[in-house]
Amino acid sequence: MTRLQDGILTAGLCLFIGLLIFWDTSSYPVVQGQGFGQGPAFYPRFLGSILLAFGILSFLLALFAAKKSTAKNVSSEDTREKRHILLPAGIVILTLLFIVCLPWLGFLVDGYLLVTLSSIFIRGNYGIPAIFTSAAVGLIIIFLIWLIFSFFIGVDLPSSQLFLV
Amino acid sequence: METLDLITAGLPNFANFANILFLLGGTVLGIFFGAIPGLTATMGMAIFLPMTFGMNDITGIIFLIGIYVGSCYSGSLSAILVNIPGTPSAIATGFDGHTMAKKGEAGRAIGYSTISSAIGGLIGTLILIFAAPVLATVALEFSAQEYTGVALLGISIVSYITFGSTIKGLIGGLIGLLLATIGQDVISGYPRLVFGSQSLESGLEMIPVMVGFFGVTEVLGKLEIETPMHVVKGKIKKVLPRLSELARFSPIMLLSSIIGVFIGAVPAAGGAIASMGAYGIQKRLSKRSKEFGTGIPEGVVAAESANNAAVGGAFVPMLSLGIPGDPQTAILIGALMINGLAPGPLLFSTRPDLISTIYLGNIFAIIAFLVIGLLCARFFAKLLQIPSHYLLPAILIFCIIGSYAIRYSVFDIWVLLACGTGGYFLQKIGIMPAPIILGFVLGPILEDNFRRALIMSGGDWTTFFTRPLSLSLLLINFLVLFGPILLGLLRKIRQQR
Repeated sequence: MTRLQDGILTAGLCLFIGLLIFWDTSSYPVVQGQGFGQGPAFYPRFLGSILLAFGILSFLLALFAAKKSTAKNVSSEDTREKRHILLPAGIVILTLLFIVCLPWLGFLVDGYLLVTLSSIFIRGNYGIPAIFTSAAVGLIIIFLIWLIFSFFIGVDLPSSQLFLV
Repeated sequence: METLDLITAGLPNFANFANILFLLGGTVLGIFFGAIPGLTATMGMAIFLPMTFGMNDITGIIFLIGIYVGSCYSGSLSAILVNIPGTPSAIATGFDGHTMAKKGEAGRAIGYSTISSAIGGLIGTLILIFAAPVLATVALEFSAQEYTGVALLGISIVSYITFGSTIKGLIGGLIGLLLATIGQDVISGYPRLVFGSQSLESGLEMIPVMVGFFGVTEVLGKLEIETPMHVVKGKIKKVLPRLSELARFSPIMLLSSIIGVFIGAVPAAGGAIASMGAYGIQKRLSKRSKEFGTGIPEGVVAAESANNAAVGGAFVPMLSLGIPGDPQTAILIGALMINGLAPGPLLFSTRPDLISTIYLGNIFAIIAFLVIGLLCARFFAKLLQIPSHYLLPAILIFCIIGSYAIRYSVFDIWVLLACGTGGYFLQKIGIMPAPIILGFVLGPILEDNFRRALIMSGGDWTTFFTRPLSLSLLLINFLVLFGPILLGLLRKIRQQR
């Protein structure tokens, strides 16, 4: 990513958050003396204003640096070998599905599926022995969680509406 | 309270077998989390913080201190064996430690690192015991204006030292402060930034946010980048160094420990800067200066003494001001707050047993890792080979259940995922999790005191500049943020002349 791109993204993020704050706080009740801290909108708007200012500053600095030297234009260089970004995306999707299915499957079944499928996905090896070992390790991990959180600490793990777990 | 009374008040807590067990268990867990690259002390403490809900406050704090102290030591194990520091505070250890390992002296390197860590930690705790009450007495003079300045200082410093630009760090801090405003306004009770969601009206819980940014973000980041691990092969031989060698390195241990404590006491500085600073200073002072980095014990001793001494230092602002000295003490503050305790100077008079437990917990955890580290070095080398396709899903599910366990709310798991995913993308544009979390932890302190100061002064903003202590703190803030820029400008002007 170039410094200019970095600056644009940072400024964009700050602009988005700042405008969101101003939009939301526009409906807050106005309290007498809001200017010095009594109204609910004062503090979020104060922070939002500073965030907007930093966003603009970040963009200007990136613009200045980009104009100054095109040779040093890369904002971050990582020379380590990179895996595909699909891997983190896949784990996020699996976690999303876990949360959605939690009321139906319960933690023990749903959690086991999350751990096992994540392990298979990260490993990238879809052979039977690899799936089997991931499934076995998944069982151990879920058992450990049940032991620590449910047995020792007494946390009520989410139960299933479909199964008796 | 007299210092000796303050030290002994917590002794009965360590006559309790359960507390000893949790201290040992926490230390072993901490060693595990610190030794495995990709796992950090902060992650370990964040993941196991929910476990402390079922414990009383003393036991919970002892457990977390064990994790903290153990992990600060064990980062050196992977730095020495694999040249990948297990924690950022072990970066400097690897410079000489791994080279020693490649020369067949892995055992010696581990021995020096273990003993230096122990001595550094003990010196750090000793300084903590005497410095914290003094600073707490000063802190009792603080009013809303001063606390605003101190909270700002924490955010400024972490923004300055976090990898990447200072502005990105400040943006991260602001994001954290904004996350802390979600929920009911403390003065008017009006729900802020909830966007119509009833679940958000009670605000964001600390654990899902912390675990999300420190745990899930790291897991997603580690998935994207493959770091090859080349473990030093061959048996780990003799670990315990000779007494004569230890005596020879004692001046290095002492000086590095003092450097470590003072850097660790700076809010948000932490062990990484402490160990780098001590390594750099020893390199300048040593007669073998040119040999640093070629595999000499002096390098390992300097770095490890400082990074564990920094633990004691980090407790100083935490106990005396209620401001975290590093992300790990931010989690300890979270643990205290969950138990209804307000960290700060009043704790010295209201809960001297807790203060004493923290002192003694540090000392006993150090003794624990000293023994475990020297006896189990060979076993830890095998731990480094746990495949990431088992480790990362395990961490993820621990993060999830830890977040759920606070209030049995699936919403908190959503918060965890949102913070983890958000943190992952923010890292891509150089906004790191540490300033966000510090902003989130300091948010309530900053807002309460800032607004209170303005209300007390009737809206007069000069109140922050007319009080000497408050003005000094704001000046320090200014120097931290703009000092390097001004120095750079001065140098350019001198060069032009």
